Amino acid sequence: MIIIQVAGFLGSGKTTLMIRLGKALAEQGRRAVIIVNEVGEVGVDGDLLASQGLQALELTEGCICCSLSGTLQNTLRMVKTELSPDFVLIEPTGLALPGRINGIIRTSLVEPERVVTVALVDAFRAEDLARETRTFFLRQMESADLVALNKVDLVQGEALDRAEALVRELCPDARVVRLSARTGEGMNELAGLMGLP
Amino acid sequence: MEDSKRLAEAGSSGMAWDVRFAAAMEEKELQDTLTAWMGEMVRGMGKEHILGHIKAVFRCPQGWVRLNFVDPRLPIDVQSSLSGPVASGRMKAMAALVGFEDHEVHRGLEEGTGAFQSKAADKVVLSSVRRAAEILSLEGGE
Repeated sequence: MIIIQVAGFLGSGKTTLMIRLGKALAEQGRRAVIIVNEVGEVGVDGDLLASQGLQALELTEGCICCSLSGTLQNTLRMVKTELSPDFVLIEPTGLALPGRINGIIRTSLVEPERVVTVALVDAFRAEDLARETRTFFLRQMESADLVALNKVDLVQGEALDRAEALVRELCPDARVVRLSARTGEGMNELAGLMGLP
Repeated sequence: MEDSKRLAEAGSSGMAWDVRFAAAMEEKELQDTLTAWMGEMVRGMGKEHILGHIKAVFRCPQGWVRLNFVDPRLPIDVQSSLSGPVASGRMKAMAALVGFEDHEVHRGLEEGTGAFQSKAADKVVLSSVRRAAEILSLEGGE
């Protein structure tokens, strides 16, 4: 069982990427379960994922990196023993810290074959995020295996170069890939960097 | 462990409504109606600059409509997959915004919905599904 965490700030495109990844894995005959977390008591994304034919478990009313950490561990154990998927895709809330979630996975006793953490950055709002929530923005990226600069369908040219330079300045060691989860541009490179088939 | 929502200085809330239309709507009309509703939710937050995410999904027997607001400089993003005219369904909306308290976000969703309801009273009837437990029971424990 491989665990893929797709983290990123509010509105960075996590659900769109989840749908694309989930469908791509299904087309290859891989069984994937999506764990989606919403900070409010009303889950929106679980409905959407289910409507796309994906198997999604929705955790609501808290964040899996803090208040729902035990719930995440219990869910991972249940998924492994009862569903035995090839992949577990985790979509945290846009307010979660992916480094914490990796720690929670490590102590969950599910012993995944591999954990891949992708930090999704909204290229359109990268400069706003760095200006207004710099510390939080950095903490969402720093523990990721790779940073996907998303929404390149909306941002081109110098603005996109500035967004990438900002990410590289904040996370000098990060592997960065340009992506449009909406159109699929950059998906092959992302899958390659994630080590997916 | 420190609450990450507090660390981000963000507030959040979610609501759900059962929705009935006076006359069944085709896809484009439904998209426009729900976009107008979300526009009122955005205005209901009472600030020109919003950093965060307001999202909604409308589900009905004919399919779904998804709406996303992430930045005032961009239009509300709408996607849908519907197999025919829609007479009713359920709308769920969630907002998480930096620089807001939970109750402010909740009030914004409520006030925006109230404004939408006033403007669209001749064609849309809403009934709020207030609590998560109630939502779950109505959805058969999904």
